[in-house]
Amino acid sequence: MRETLRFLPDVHRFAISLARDAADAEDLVQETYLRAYKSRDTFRPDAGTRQWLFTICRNVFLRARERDRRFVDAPEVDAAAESEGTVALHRQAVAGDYADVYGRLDFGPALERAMAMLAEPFRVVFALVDVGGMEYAEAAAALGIPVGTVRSRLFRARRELQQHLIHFARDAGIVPPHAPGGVP
Amino acid sequence: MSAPQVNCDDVVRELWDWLDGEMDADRLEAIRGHLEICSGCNGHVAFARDFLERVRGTLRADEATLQPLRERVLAAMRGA
Repeated sequence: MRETLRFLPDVHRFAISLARDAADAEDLVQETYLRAYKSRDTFRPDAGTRQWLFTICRNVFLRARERDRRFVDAPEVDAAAESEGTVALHRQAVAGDYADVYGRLDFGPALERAMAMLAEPFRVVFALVDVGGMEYAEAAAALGIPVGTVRSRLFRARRELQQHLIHFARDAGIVPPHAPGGVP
Repeated sequence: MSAPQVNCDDVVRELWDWLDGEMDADRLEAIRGHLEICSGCNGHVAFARDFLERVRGTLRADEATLQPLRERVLAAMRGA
């Protein structure tokens, strides 16, 4: 089991994206490894160690908060419309001469703040794909939802995060006050 | 068989699928072909890619955080 510790930085990144503060994330990592250790006899190496740890981490997170029902009952969203939302943000950024807005922000802290504002169903999918590096099908398998739902929730998460980041940049005076953004 | 036609509306709708490589090879190639000749769509892709790359390069803890956490996890496993 010690060899699974090489994935600890990945599991930690994933836990940070799920939990809302550093202490909760570290507790989540510890509980993930503890459960993995206890179920090591049932682990199949061909399933992929990293994905196995992420799945445990996600289950620990959701069960601890008894949020499974809320997760399943998330509103459906239109993936194509969410992609179009990102393009609309880009068009406005070009028009306002701040297309490099992400480079002007202190991106890490701003992203953590924006992620905390996402509804959980969207944050979890974002965490699996964009932080955990899973493909859509892997995330769908881990969450027990269709690939199309992963796709639409991911695109919603990305669009909302970008809106929040632009909103923060506007509040900080980094981009003009007429920039789009804010709570969708 | 000729490559499927792609226009700007297609690229806008499939922006994230293309960046994630979540489409079949013919479609990936068709969109790549459109991007070679369309500066507007290239700008949309660059904006979205910049966001994704910054996301993927952040949220990394330093060793000062990870080493105590490794020790804590090992201690918990030993005590299990």
